[in-house]
Amino acid sequence: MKSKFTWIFTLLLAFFVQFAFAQQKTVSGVITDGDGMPLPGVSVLVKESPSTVVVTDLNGHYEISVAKGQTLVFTYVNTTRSVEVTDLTTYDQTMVEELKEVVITNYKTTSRPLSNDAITTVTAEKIGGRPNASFIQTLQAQVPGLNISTGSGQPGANSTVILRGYGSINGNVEPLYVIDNIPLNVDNFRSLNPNDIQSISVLKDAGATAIYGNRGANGVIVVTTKKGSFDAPLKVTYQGVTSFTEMQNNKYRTMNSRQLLGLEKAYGRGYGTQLTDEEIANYNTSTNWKDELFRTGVSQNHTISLTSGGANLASFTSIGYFDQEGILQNTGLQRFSFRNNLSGKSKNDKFTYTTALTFNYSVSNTASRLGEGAVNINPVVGANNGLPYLTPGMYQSGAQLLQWYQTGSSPDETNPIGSTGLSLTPLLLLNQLDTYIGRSNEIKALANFQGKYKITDDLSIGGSFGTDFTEINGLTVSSPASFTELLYQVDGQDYLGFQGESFSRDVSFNVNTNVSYSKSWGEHSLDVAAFTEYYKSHFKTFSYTQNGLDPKVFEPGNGAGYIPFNPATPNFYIPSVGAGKGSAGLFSYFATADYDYSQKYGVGATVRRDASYRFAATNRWGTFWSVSGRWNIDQEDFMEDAGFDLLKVRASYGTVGNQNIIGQSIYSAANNSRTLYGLISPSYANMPGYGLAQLGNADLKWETTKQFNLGVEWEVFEQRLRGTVELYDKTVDDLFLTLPLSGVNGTYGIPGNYGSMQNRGVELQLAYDVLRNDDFKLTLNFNGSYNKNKVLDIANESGRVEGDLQILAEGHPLNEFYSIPYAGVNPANGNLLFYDAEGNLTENPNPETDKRFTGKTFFPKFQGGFGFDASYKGFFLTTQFSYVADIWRYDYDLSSLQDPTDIGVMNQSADLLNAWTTDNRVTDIPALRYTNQGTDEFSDRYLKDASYVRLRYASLGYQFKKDLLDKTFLSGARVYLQAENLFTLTKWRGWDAESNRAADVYQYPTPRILSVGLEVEF
Amino acid sequence: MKNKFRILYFVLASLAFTSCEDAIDITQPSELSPEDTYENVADLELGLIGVYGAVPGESDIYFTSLFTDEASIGANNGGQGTGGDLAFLLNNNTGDPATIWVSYYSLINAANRLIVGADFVEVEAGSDDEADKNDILAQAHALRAYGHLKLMSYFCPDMADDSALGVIAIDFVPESTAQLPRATAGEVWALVLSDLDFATANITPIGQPAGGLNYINQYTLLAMRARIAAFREQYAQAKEYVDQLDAIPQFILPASAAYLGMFLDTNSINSEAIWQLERIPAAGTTTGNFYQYWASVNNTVSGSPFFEVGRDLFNQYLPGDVRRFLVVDESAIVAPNYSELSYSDYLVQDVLPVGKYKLTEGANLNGDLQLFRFSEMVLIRAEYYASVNDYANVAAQVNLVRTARATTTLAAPTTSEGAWGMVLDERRREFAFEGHRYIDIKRLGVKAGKSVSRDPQDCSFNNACTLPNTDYRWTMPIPFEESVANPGIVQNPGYSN
Repeated sequence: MKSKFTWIFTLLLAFFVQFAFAQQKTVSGVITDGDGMPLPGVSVLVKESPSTVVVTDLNGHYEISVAKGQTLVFTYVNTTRSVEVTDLTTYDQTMVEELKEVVITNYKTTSRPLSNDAITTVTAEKIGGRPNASFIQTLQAQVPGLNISTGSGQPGANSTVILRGYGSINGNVEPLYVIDNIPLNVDNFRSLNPNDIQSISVLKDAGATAIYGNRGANGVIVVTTKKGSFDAPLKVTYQGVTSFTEMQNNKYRTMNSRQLLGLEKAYGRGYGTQLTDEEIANYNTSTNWKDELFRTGVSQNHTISLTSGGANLASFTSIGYFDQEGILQNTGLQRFSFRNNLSGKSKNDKFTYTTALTFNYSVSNTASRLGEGAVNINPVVGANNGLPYLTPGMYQSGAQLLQWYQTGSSPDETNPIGSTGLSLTPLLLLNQLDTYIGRSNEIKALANFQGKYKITDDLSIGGSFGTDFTEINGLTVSSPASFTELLYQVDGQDYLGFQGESFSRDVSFNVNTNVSYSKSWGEHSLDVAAFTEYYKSHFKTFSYTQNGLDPKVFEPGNGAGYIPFNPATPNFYIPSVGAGKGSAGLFSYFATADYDYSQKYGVGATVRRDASYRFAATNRWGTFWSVSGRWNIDQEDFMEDAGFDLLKVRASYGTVGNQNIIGQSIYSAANNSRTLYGLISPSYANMPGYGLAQLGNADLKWETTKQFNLGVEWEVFEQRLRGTVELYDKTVDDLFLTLPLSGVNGTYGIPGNYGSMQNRGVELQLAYDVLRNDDFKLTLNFNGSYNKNKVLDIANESGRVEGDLQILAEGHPLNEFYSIPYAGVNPANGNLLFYDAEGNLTENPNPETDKRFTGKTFFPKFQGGFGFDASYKGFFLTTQFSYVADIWRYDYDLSSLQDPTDIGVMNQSADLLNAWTTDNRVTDIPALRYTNQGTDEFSDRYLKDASYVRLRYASLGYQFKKDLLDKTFLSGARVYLQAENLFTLTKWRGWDAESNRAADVYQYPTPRILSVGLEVEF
Repeated sequence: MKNKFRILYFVLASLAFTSCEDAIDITQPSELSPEDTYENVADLELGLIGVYGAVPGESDIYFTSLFTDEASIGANNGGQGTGGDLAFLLNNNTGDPATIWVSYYSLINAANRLIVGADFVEVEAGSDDEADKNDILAQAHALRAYGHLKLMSYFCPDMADDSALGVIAIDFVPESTAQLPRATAGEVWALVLSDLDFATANITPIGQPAGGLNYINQYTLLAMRARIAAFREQYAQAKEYVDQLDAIPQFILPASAAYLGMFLDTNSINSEAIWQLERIPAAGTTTGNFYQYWASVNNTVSGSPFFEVGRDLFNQYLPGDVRRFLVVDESAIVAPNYSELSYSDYLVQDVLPVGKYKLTEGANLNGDLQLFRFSEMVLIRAEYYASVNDYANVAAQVNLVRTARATTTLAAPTTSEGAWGMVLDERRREFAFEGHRYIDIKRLGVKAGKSVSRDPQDCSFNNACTLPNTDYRWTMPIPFEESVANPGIVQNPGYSN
């Protein structure tokens, strides 16, 4: 304790000496973080006049008008400090000493020691400037218990975000996202600029999420964007990042031409059979199709932001441009983003309001049929399996390929590789790149108004109105010259190709009104608030596809060149059309109360009544509640000399509801409580008919999550070691599951509620300041979580729902892999061997009886991140590793490369060179002509360990000292190098160990990204 | 100032409170309740189209072709079928029984819903509306009977034994939570026959079929009765129904051109077809209802066939048999020495694409489904003669078909097994890729001493060359999905649960 006081004293002394003679009305200062780096974005306000707020600039500098005797409150999202203004004019702060996070939700803001809830907050510096299109990807491995897996390298692709294990089976499993008070329907963030984000809070326990009762069952992610400050001069910040994206490596050992031709010759199928051994040995052409179909993408990201503030109005404005080329040819994302956030207040400070408006436009180019073995459409098939002895030069046009495919020889030359059919795959895909367009243009706007009026010092009324507007225009074009179109041409069909356009608009409104009361007396303080919330949303879609395009005049997106319908040409040119619309709504009222005694003890409670449009009137309303409490042990007298700077225990218990029956969409399963008929069109012989459209389930009701959470937070060793540990036990009842029905209903199931499931886990977050000298700072950080998922109850007699390779069974984790154990290769004959139910070896397992529980799932039991932040003078180095462990997935890319029946048609892995022969009996690769093919379909042969440790992010940079910039117009500057996914340690052999799927084949892998960034302020 | 804010607040507050119901009491556009669906006879007609739309067929044909000896691995096979039907994999987890079970109950459910809905439509006695309504009801009953008939053929272990396990007999719209037991075969047949009786009494009188061949008429009812009688081995009755149909001048075994025209959809009158399911390609497509079944592009050798006609089946057709290049596409590459080729050469040098469902109505791999044809009736009569050991007449009936198909006639068999074998073999040639073979082997395999017969080349990759005709897999398992929801249901013999 003594040294702590010395430390603070030294700081104060320094201020005193340095700035003693600059007494003025305006005070200033520099805020630095624990590493001594300037902290931009810290808000500084005058406690007695809370509307006087400024924000520090890039150098951590601020100026503010204040009177002697008033108190300055410094608030960074993580930290608050306050200082009484004396005759000094400079008040610097180092914000690391107290990690008093400000916990921000839509409904309340609390300093961290006084919060009862399990909430993790990530701030702008850990989000901005990184080359990910979506901020969700950036969040990966930064929050204990939050699992983020993307599984697609498409720029801006959605990630799967799971907090504390899967909380539903058929229903929504992802957290609710709330951006500036606007709850969003889907996690589509490709159009939002991550650089605008001030903080992200992840709300985990029932105490925190109960207030979001109708949609908070899987946690809540609250995003706050940057705001301007009152009485602040204009600041302009520019941030530019240029990135290079490239494929990660795989370990499939794909063959080169010589290897493959040799294998083909040995096997007796393919071009290799036509060559002599010598010709094969001298075969010099070898194409790596990965390099032809993928590329190094170049990306740029520019953001300019302006902040300024007058006496009653402050603004933050940012404009951004982002252009990321995907590593897959022809894919990418371009984005223009605009944001304007205003804060205003009345002269007497009684009325305050903020508005947040963002308008964004993005264009996304995508590939088609990813994840499928579509040899003429999915480019990843060619990259994985393309024959190396084909060359890109062999491709001329779709017509040439068609002739080659159909007749076995190209128009201008005889077949250069002696083969045809599916072996032309990589050439077909080059043609696909030339002739296919998959594009969607998105307009996304979020607008929010929030106001608060203080009727008395204690009583306030407030409200907010927000809207989320998304409009997507899709364009899909297959050119008349494409191989695929030519292939499917029918006699009399003179015009080929199609163009499809689609339109969808989704608008939602959220209105919240509230009244709140705050009172402190003596050692007591009480906050009580009551709210109503109204939510309504509407969608509208329409689409058409025109078949038959005149190649001379047709341009993608334009309608010239459409061939009209003609009765003489049966139905070739009939366009297909479609339209849809729908609405959704929620209504809630709720109240919260928080009581604190002497900043030592606190209790809180929330109760909430929610109604969802989805359920029949009898089941419409659900009641959700929570209670929470804390004990700030470090505040007790007996702890004074115990060495704890912070020691807090808190606990919560409560319930939260989920009404998204199927997936994330607020519109899906809109009226499943009702049995409905419909016009089925076409029904028979292209005529419409009436029939059953939907079998209703009037008993549908809320899925309910009960959660208990116990948390401990501490800071010791002069706050060098800071940590949080959380224990939770979460049980979901009335799970949304397909209610099994007898086939006599014409269906085997309808959405219903049955069964329950449990997630139990522990989370740990640690940070330790190894060095905190003036020049050299080093902080280590770690976060990790363990989650155990268990299905408690399946309401059918067998207690299980069995799939092909996965099972839902009582006492087992959700969708545990359930398969026949693969035993290896039979040394006697080179066939596959398996274990049957009794544990005996067999070559012909019975999928009905020999499948077993594996204890493996594709959701990791352990996951988290670790790294360090170091700085030396102006230089800084940050690393962030991510890891997942005990996670298993099927690798069907590997199985497609170890498939001898494809020899001669597709490339193979060099693993096959080790295939069983009479001279090579002990091997894990079966004989090339093993005779029990197909028996491994239900086995775990390709179920692979997908655990990994990855250097998810590293950044090396230099922050220019202020004196270096004195002679320039700049007030701050920073340059840095960054890398995402630089390397990965894993047993997984594929392109990308990270995925949100149980099995992977021909998927778009996530890239490695190297980037250079520059940030200046003036 | 103060007032301004208060007004603002109250605007927000009132917006929230007054519109609570508007947020949670939402009817989506186009919701049609069962009660509002059927208001007049025109609505019932649309309802009947809806029931016809529920008649399955393609999935039966696909399963049958792969599980038996009709299809084999094709030149462009990318792994399809190798682990399942081609390996005789059939258990309660297999997709085919689940699909077939639910699709025919879907048909029955649709028919029952129409029959119930018709109660709400009142018509004047003696009016045209009444006749139309009765005709619609008659067809709905006949479609319900057809659904039960198909289910019996797949799931009843012994259709000729009235005490055998049948299927769930259902002539009502069930509660969604219903758990119904399997009726006996006799109970199911009783329901089927009473439905047919109702249909016979109420269907539009004999004449030109009202809706053409695409809808059920008096003749369809006779053909259905004939098939049922044959399945129940009540052959004398079966022959009576066949004779009645034979007496109608419309039904003949036509010459080759008209026979081919039936499958190419080019005939104005199909004198052999009794009931077909019309299949019209969707707007703007150039592929039809069999797209991706046996080939991914078209039914020619360059159309990426992943299954082809089994070599053993192809070998059954003599040159000149009109069926030879209907079952196999004309573009076929036939290697006479196929049996001497290596398997990989055999795959690419002996290419026999499935030809029965080809380019019709401007779409590849499109075809109407022939559910009942007159040749089936003739061969049912052959079964009658086999059942009474009249071998000469067995040959006579079979040769009626063979002559019409422009192939040689066969000598009369000399044994009962030979007689049944003759019928079974001719049915194999005649109804290839029409979804009969699985049921035929189940019904006639033991009597004929025959079963699946795959060419050694075709089964060399997995050694699954035949399946004994007494194997339990000739009756489908009650699918897992059914027993989960209906735990009391009895499984068929041989399956583990």
